[in-house]
Amino acid sequence: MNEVVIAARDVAFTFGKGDLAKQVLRGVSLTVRPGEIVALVGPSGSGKTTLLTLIGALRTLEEGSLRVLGTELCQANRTQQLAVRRRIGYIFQAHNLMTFLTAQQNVRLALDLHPEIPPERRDALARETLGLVGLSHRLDYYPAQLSGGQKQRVAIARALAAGPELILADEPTSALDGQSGREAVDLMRKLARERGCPVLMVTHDTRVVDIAERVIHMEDGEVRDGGLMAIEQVRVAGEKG
Amino acid sequence: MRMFLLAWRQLTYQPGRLIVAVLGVLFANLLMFMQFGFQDALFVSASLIQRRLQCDIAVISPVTTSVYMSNGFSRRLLYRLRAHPDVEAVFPVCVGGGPWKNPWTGRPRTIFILGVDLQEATLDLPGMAESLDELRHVDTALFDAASRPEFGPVAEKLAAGEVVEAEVNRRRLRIRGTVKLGASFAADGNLILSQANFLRLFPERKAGVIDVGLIRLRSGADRAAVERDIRAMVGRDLRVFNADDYIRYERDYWADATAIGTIFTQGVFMGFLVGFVIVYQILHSDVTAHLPQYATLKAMGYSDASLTSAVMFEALIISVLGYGPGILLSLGLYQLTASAANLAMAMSVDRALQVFLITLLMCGMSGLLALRQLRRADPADVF
Repeated sequence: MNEVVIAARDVAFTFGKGDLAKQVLRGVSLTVRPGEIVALVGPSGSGKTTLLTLIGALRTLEEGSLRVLGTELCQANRTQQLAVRRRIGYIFQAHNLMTFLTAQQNVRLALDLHPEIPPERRDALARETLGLVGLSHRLDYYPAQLSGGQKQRVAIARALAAGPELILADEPTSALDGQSGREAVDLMRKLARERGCPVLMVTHDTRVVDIAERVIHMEDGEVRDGGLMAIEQVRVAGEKG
Repeated sequence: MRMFLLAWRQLTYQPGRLIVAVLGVLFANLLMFMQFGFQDALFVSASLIQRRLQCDIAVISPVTTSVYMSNGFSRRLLYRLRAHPDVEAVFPVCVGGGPWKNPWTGRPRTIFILGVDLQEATLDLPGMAESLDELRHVDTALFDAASRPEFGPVAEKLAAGEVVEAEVNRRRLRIRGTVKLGASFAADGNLILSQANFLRLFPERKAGVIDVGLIRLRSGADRAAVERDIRAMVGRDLRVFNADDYIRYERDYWADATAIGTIFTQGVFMGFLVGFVIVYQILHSDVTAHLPQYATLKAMGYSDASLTSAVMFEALIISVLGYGPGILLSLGLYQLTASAANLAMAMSVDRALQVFLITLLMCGMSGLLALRQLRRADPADVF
């Protein structure tokens, strides 16, 4: 764990088979180190979301090598995938909270996957984490009773509560207005810094790119310019789009 | 446990849907309990007479399928069996049906009539032994106090000291007492007469023809052996039963030879189907509505097995919530039916357990079918 969090080498991925096959990743290589905040940018269809789902062990990789948190995910079985998933905090484009659970119960759901956290500690930990995202006064609210920004903050709390070793985020601000988007991003950066937890984000949002220490640009299933791109360029691209 | 809690919260978040599902199970349970109850009552009541017969061995005509549709046989066939050294006594029984005219309203209704031997009480009924002598008088009868009320308040009037006479098969009978036998699907009420009075009531019947022959054996006799001997003695002329087999023969007739058993089974199946469809609808729409959320749970690291158990817990919760009120309401309906229709509607532990298992099966199958949706929840689609 002291070397790299994500090490991808020649990762290739194809959707479909035969004539309908569409290659979305053509030999991607990248690394993410502990504590890094990395933005993954690129036009839609460039394969960045596919890459993120592979790193998150949500898809099975058939070609190349992808080590995440020390586990080789190429040809990984279901048990290995589940184990990796539990060590990752996800923040989705849509908040995807359980509508029938309160904010606290939603966060608790993530903690319940960790037997090393004593059950009697979990509710307190859920409350603490919601406090960190400024929702101490909304613990018993259902998602339907929360604003969009608040819901995304619950989702961030859910991703962070169990102390993940990696945070993956896919367009975490796209469903939010300017103000709450900014707040969500600041929050993610603050919490990631405090905990030394690396973050990999897929985004179009320049505000998100601003907080990144490194930007990886993807196009047509490949990483461009050695994975580095001037923030200015992204900003221009973002303003155009 | 945490999946149980998840299932519970998911169900209770939308109480309206939960109530519909629970009502579906409740309705299915009511239907099943009533069908089973009626079926049991039918089988018990159909063999009510056989259950009361005081005999070791019974013989009937080989043509007879049910005592309510009896073919007679010659009394001599029965008396001949006294030749067996282990036979202590034989008693003939005649049966028939005739119109009873309600003495208070004048409305006729068919009543089942038993003509019995007066040497001793061959039916094990409270009040029978004491009243036998009453039947020696011409045109007298004992009335079954558990008959349907349409026959009139005979027992009440007798108890009040009044004289009750009724016209049966165009002949005036004096009711000299009551016994308690019970109505059945085939007979709304029963009347017990002496053989002599029975023949007065049915002058067209030949005197030497009886419907059931009852045989009592000496104490210490080898029943199975005597049964075999008697079977050999009567050959193809009569059908021979021990007491238990005779009950079963009557019961099986109603269960198998008629469509009644099938109809009740179909009723139970209908209940199952209704409950299954309702619970499936609820679970299916519940899973479908939460598909992205289930996918999120998978992405977080929840296994397929734990999500499966969440859905199955939902099914379990619905079954239990429906079954509780279902059995309570059924008990009430049993009482109501028992008093309104004089049918032996009784809840047994076996029956309660059987319906509970069927309910679990019903909800479990709904859950399993709804689970097919869950496989569509692909965590890769969440991003």
